[in-house]
Amino acid sequence: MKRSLYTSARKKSLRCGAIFHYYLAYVTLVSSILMMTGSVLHTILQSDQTDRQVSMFLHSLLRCERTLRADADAANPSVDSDSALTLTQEDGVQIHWAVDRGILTRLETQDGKSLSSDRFIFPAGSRIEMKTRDDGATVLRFSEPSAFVKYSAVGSGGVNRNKAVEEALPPTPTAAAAQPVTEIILY
Amino acid sequence: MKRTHGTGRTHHRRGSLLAEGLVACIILGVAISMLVPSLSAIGKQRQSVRFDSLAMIELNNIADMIRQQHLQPAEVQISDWFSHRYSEASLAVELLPNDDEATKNTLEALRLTIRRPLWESMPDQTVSIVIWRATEEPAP
Repeated sequence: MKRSLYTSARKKSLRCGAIFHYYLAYVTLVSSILMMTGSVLHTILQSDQTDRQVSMFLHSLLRCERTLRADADAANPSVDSDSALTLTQEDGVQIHWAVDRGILTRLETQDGKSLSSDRFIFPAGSRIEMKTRDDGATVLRFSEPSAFVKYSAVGSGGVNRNKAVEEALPPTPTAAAAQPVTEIILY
Repeated sequence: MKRTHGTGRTHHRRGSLLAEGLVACIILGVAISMLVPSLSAIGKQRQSVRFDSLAMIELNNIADMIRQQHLQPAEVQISDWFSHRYSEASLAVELLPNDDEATKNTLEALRLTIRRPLWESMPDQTVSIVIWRATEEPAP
């Protein structure tokens, strides 16, 4: 009688509720699954953002190159400063290319009247320089945004473009932080 | 999940079994192992598109230089900015036969090709354009 009472009490205590280490294993598994899911989502979103920036840069660059070469076929370019370029056609039409941080503007004028204008918006953090080389070629130099600097998400074309939100600390060595460059050369 | 004991009572077990969690973990592991190569492929595709665009700009630069400076195919080289980006890329300039009787002696066609080796077991990535230029010495 005594034995049977003991056995039934033991059985009852074993099957009542969940065992502690089940909970522990459950929590560990769930947290690791959540962590993996979070990191995968983060990678996907980051990849999407990079894709958007690269696509924006290449689209603007190719459109700019096509337009600039077409302009240069009709007139010789002359660099006014490192941020301005003028092409004067035979019929008196002047085409001004000007850089304002990451935005390149093309303005077509004749006798002081504006005929047309176009804008090429590059991602925040891009730099554009214009110069004339020793051999007489005109060079437009495009530097892509640094991978070590975080720019505002609304930077491209917005009021705070090229304004860094975060920078790597300590500062990245110059050689590693060099921004990739693309050059359009007009001979 | 219900379990019937010898007494005939139905026992409702609380919590989940370790085995169930393990199964969920395995399924997620398989899903992630399929996702990682896809993400890697997206990255490679992005690099490939970037190379296509930049190589086209470089080819247009070279074409402009050949037309304006009347360079010979052997004198043409890849620009510094492009070789800094893609040190393994190479340029080939090929003179194409012009079978058109009307322009045979006045125009010549050149094919400019930029090639870069890809990862193992993949063919090289190439971008090419054909340009026409006036021959330097027209036939009498």
